[in-house]
This record gives sequence, C-alpha cells and structure tokens, in this order.
Amino acid sequence: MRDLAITLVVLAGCVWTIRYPYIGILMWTWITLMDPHQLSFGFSQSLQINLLVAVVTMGSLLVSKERKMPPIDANLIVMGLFFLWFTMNCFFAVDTGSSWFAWDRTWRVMLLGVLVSMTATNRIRIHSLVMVMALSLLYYGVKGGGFTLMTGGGSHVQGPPNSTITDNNQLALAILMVLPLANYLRQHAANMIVRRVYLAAMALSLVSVLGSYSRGAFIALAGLAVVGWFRVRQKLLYPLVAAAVIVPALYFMPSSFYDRMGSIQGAGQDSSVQGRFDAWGVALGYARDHFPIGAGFDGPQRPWIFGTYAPGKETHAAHSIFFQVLGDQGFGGLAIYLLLLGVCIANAMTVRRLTKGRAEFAWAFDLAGMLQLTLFVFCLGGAALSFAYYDGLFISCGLLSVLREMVLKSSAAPGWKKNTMDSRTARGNLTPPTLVVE
Amino acid sequence: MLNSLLYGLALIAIVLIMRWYIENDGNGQNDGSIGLLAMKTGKEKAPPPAPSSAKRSFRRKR
Repeated sequence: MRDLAITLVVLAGCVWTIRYPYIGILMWTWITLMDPHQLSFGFSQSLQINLLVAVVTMGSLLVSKERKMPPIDANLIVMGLFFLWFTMNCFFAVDTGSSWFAWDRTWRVMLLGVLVSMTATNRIRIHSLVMVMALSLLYYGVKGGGFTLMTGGGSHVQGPPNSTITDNNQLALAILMVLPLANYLRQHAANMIVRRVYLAAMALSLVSVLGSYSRGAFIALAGLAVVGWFRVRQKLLYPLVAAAVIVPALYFMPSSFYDRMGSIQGAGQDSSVQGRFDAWGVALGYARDHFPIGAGFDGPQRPWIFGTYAPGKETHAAHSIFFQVLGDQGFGGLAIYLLLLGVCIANAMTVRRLTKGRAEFAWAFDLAGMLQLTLFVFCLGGAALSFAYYDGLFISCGLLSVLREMVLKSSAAPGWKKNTMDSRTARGNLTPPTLVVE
Repeated sequence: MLNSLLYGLALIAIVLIMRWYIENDGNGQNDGSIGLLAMKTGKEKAPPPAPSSAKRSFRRKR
C-alpha cells in the first residue's frame, strides 16, 4: 500500500515537474531529506526514485524559461572548489572504490544545493522549499516524539534504514537543524491552525531528540535553546515556553536516559567517547602525514589505516564533521569546508543587515536568522558526529546564496533606503502605516 | 496503524505543498496569500484607518 502511494505521488510530481520545474526541486529535496521510499516495505525501496526525479527535473529545467545559471558568488565558488578538491582527492584515496561511491552521492547533493540557488528566485519558492525541508524531518520528529511518549522513553528513536539519518545521533541532529526553520514557518504562516500544528510538531520533535539518547544532540539542543533566545522576538515568553516543553519531557524520561547523559561528564572513562578520541587522532595523523590531501571518503575508517595510527584499537567512524573532513579530504579540504561554512554565515549576516527593519523583507530577516541557528546547531552537534556531507547543509547554503542575491538586487534598486518602521510592522503582521509614505 | 496514518499524512502534506506552490507561483499570479498553507504577506490585518486627529499628531511628530 505504501509502495503504491509513494509511487503515485512521485509520478504525479514528475508530471507536474514537466510543466513547473521547481516542483522537481521540491520533490528532490523531499526524497533526499526524508527518504520516504525507505519506509515502504516492497518494491519502491529498490526503485531509484531520486534519480528519476533528478532526471525529470534537469530535463524540465533545460527546456523551460527558468534561468540556467546560479548566482555567481562566494558560495558557488567555494562549493565548486570543494567539489574539485574532493574529486582530486579521490584519486589518492586509500580505498578508491568506496571513495568514488561516496563521491557519487556527495556531488549530487551539492548539485541540489546549486540548483536551489538557481531556481528559488522568489519568496513563494523559498517558503515552499522551507516547508518541504521542515516536513521531511518533522515527520520523524513527530513520529519519534510519539514513540518516546508511548514507550516511556525506554527505547531509542532511530531513522529510516539505508539513509543518511539511520543512526539515532544523525537523525536527532537533522531534526534539531529543522527546528529553527519550523519556527520560521510558524512565525510566517497566515493560518492559525497551521501555526498550532507547527508548534505541536516542534514540541514532539524536542521529545524525539531526547528519545534518541544522543549525547551530541542533547548538547546541541542545550546550545540551540540558549542561542535561540537571541533570535526570538518574545524574549520573556521564550524561556517559559521552552521550560514548559523541556522540563516535563526531562521529568518523563527514564533513569537510563540520565545514565546516558551523565556519561558526558565521565567522557574520559567512556569507551564510546574514547573511541572518538582515537578516531580524531587517526584523522589528524593521516592528514599530517599526507599533507594537504586526505584518505578519501571514509578512508580513515579502513582497518589497515586505523590500525596504523591507533594500533590495537577498535575501528571507529570520525564522529566529528571537522575531523571527518580532515581525515577524508586532508587539511586542504578542511580549509575549503570551513570557508564554505564561513561564507554561509556571512551570507546570513549580510541578509539580516540589509533587511533589518524593512517590512517587505521581514521574512528574509527572520529566515536568515533561523538559517544561522540551523548552521550553528550543525556545527555544534556535528562536532561529535560524522555528518559532514549532509544534504541539509548544502541546501541551506543554496538557500542563503539566493536569499542574499534577492536582497542585494532589491537594495540596488532605486528607492531603497533605510527603513524606519517599527518592529511590529516589520514582522509582517501589519501593513505599514500609510502615513509613512509621503 | 498510527505509523501508516502518519506516513499517509506526510504524503498528503507534500502534495498540499506542491499544490500550494502551483496555485501561488506556478502561474505567476499570486503572492502566496491563498490556500491553507498561505504565508503572511502583510495584507491580512490592515489596520483600520486612523482618526484624523491621530493623523495630524503623527504628521506633527514627523
């Protein structure tokens, strides 16, 4: 039944894509973030749905009147550099077969990010893309939150099989990354019922993050809760709402949860944490010995490499986006990767600076702020997870790139001047007072 | 059962988003303010016209 439903939805989407190419971008994002076909039990699991959608989208884009070039900016240049670097690095990989396999996935994900920056050219497109991103992960948030409540928090929340978010840690971080975007959607949804649905989904997603038993995600959640305060408008209400959700959820969790979180303090004795330190040492050692290149995708995890740099130790994944890129792509790759994150943050800051106090761009101001939170959570939670090439990161990069382009174009247009509207008007809740325009 | 229901809702939601996009941007006619998933455009709650005395005091302030 699920197979039939997902196939019908994808086919209908492909038909729409022929006429409206942007529908293809939405579907591609949905399938890459949510992996809905992995939740079916039959033939659709083995179908290359993403490939089908990608081919139809690219074909439709080529023959349509959509623009054919993304904005040429620092984001595109750095993403291009990163692509060239990890392609070159694959030739020097310790296991070229598996490295090229991962390369094949990574360049497609980056292509989606570039296509987003090329096609998401207005507010409606950006809004619909953010809705798709939120839906894709909030689905697991709601499901995981419900599961945690029904099982008393006794079982771990896991992601769909054969996907980038199968692991409980990665799923929890991915959910945390879309929480700011869901908050943006809640702020800007016109329908009150839809706003309530977003709020309920966010609350359940928080419970789901706790139910994942992920220590990295728990730290990222704490960081998000603190930094989020600077980005919300209701500075007094926010701590009360956050406490109203988190405190009962924490009270509800069983003792096994506290045992797990308590092990953060005793990191030195914990074998899992010690394994991470070993993996970081391997990544650093390999990158230093083979400066400036790395071991290729997942190269440091090869037993003969791990054994060389950490003799007698059990093989572990990098468990840090930074050490993952360092081990995989070397110091050169890490420098470009950090540059990409820096460019994204700079783009968000530019958008916020140029749109502050402007009623017509209040949405862009809010979205850039929420995307900053998404990147912050990614960097904080990702510091203890192997999640460097996550699809959501490259899509966020593309979004910020096109957002910056839109705002810069508007600011260059005649009539752009520093707005003096009050903050309540700038939120988009009210039309600007007509008396302002003279 | 609940799982399947949630999965079905997710599929309906993605179709709704695609429909919303087509209605609002696909034909290039709308500003995102129609449909269940409509976004705030700043036109939903236009304030009532200010009384003339308020207008005068506003002008004086400026």
